[in-house]
Amino acid sequence: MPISPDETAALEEHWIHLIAKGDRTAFERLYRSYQGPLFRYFLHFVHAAGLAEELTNDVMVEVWRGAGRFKARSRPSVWIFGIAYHKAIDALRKRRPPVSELRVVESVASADARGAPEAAAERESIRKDVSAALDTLSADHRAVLVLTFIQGYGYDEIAHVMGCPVNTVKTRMFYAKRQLKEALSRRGVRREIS
Amino acid sequence: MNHPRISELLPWYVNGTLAIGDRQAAALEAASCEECAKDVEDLTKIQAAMLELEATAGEPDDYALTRALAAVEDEERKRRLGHPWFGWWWALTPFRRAFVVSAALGIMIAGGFIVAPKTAPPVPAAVTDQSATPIALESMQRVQLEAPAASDSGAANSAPGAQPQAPSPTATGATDGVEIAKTGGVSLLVPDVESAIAGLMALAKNQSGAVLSLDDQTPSRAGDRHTASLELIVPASRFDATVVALSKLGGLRSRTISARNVGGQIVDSQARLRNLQHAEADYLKIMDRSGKIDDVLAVENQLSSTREQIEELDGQVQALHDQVAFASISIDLEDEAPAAAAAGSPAAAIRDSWLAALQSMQTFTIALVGGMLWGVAFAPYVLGLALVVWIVAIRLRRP
Repeated sequence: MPISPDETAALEEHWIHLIAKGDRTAFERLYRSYQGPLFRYFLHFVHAAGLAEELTNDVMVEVWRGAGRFKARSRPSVWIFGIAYHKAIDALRKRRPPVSELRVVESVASADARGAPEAAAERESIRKDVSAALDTLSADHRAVLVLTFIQGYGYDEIAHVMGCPVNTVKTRMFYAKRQLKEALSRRGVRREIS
Repeated sequence: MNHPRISELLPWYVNGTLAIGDRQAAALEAASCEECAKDVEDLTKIQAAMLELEATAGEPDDYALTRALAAVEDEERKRRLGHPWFGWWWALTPFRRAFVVSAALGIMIAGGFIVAPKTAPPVPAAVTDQSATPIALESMQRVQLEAPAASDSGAANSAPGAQPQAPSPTATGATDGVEIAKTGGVSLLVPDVESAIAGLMALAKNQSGAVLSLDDQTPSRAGDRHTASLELIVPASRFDATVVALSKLGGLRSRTISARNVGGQIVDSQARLRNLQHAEADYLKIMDRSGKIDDVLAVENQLSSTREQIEELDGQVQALHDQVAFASISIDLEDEAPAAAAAGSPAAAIRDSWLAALQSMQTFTIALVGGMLWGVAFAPYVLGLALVVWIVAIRLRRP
């Protein structure tokens, strides 16, 4: 029986409460829950697996350090992705990813496509186009799209993650959506989208 | 009507996070507005593509958790140092930490001043404390006595040039074959140098002695001290009593006594004197015989040279006897307080203030350096205490 989001949030709150008391087992559980999502989230920004792992660990250590300060005013995931968003922005400020690192993501996608039928191959083509189009966006615009369509956050939660007003989130989404469509159109997939 | 507001919510309509009211409004809008319907369709495809992108993005390293736990351990170690007892320390900025360290050092130095015994050189107030004088005398007194030289016993007392007014050998400290010449030195801090000089002169007179020299240095500037140097002679028999009496005239800073045996020198000189006197008598007899002029002139020259040597030796013997009969004492006097400033002179007042400030600064600097040395000396104890506190704090740390 699948766990509802509310139950997940309650469980994660409990883990964070235990982490605040120094419980390493709770930390391991929370880490295992967020390791993948955070890693993939960072890949959208830094395109390097090593750096994404490093940033993931940084976020989780920050969670360990700040567990006592978590007041449950939002879902634990919103709090954690809020930390992750600022880590990603800091990482981008400090370091621009070299082009060669883009292969990390692309190679994974290609490997997936090798054994796929034609329909899957077409989907992979769209995936690559979307990935390439996302790379043309600014970090804030990319973050709005990722948090909306991958993490499934509402605009108010995204505002919480990014630390900005809700209207700013809506504005960013408007421009991000338009730029993404333009980028995809330039890549010749507009017909697919529209 | 609602198109602008609803259209901007369509991404969250697609991801299913809109509240019930907005969701219904967005559904109606998508059904009635072709542009919004197309937007929803595009967004749905974008979401599908992004979710597929997410699903194929790969997985992190298996050892990432191990590294994360190691990082947590490291964080935990830092947190131990951040125990409530020390948490304030890590919350401080480096500048404030430096300030706290400086303040702690200052407290240590101040503590050193309080705990440290008074090791400063003798100050007038301490020296004039008569109750402390015997200890000071005992520690400062230095007696130098030369080893007695071998000489003919009793020869010293038969010196022909001995002064009739000189004290007897026993009274002057002369024993069998030993003639002692004493000298002494006394340094005193006195309330008033002028009064002390007058007292010294009276003392010399009472002890049948005399003041041989006086060098009185009256201060020319405020802040300087009035000093004077005197040399007394007193009969050797009264030397000890005089030195003791001198010590009571003021605060004793130092006292030295030295004694030298001149008995051997006196005996030798007297023997040589007797030989020369015999030679003189022989030359006189030769001259009485008369003879050639050249011989008389030669004897006359020898006689003259012999007489010159006799007078010289006689003088030396007399001086040695005087040294035995009379002891000399050199006395240094210094005012306890510096000279006062001339009244009513602003320039003098400013100068005095400046000098006083310099003096205070010097005293403070010496005290500060001394205190720091005390702080360094006690550092092992302080560091040991800090280590114990630190260990206890770690033990009290949460489990």
